[in-house]
Amino acid sequence: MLPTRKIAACCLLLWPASLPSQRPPQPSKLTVTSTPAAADIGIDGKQMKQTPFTFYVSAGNHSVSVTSPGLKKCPARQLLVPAGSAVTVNCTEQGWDANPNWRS
Amino acid sequence: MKRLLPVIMFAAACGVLVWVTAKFTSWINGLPFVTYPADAQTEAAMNNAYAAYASVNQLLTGLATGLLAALGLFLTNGPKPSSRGRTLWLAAASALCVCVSIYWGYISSQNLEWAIEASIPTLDLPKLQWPRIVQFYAILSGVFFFAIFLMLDLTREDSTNASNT
Repeated sequence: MLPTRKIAACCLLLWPASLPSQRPPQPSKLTVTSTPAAADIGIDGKQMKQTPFTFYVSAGNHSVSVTSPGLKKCPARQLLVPAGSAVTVNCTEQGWDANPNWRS
Repeated sequence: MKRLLPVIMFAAACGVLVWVTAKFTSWINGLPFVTYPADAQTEAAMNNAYAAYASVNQLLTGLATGLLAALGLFLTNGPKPSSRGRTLWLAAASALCVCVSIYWGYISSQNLEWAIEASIPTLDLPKLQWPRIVQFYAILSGVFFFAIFLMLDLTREDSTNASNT
């Protein structure tokens, strides 16, 4: 085989090394609390557990809502969760508490 | 140049396959998910589920490696590749599918390690299910191409023997 062809074959074999890592990013923790507790939590449109609860979520934007007869002011809201971080959001009768990760 | 063309085409196909596979891997690993920690009861069940997932992964990887070895043995012990003519592409397709299966087996085990490390209490996540599905169907395609290659190759040898006698 010609040296140029050998070099081309080696480059082709080494090409995947330059591609981004195939390991998934670390999951993040999202804790949802409320005052009063025992309200229904919705994440990305799905009803999950009751407050207070900690979820494992993928990094990125997630829609979070809290509903109960006493909590009417915590509708679905976009939250940015950074990779490998722990984010806590709290719902009260006045609405969502301030958090720098809220997107809307 | 006429002899080089199939080699170039095969190398180009391999390049496209590597690119598509890398993109598909990052798409799978970027899919969103929401899950919650396991309780004590679920944890024991999850350990068994992780072990079952890992053993199926090992089985599929073992089968894929065996198939690749069988393909190599058959190609090196039989008649020269040039005399195989048009059936050789089936062997190449089988080898490619098997390599894809081995790659997805690796991704599958890596994602399982990730799930165990992060105490993810479910296997029902796209990043755990997709690699396994692709691994399984890739080896199935590899077996399919290998079977057709064997069938055509053995039939061709028989007809050559028959014409000689």
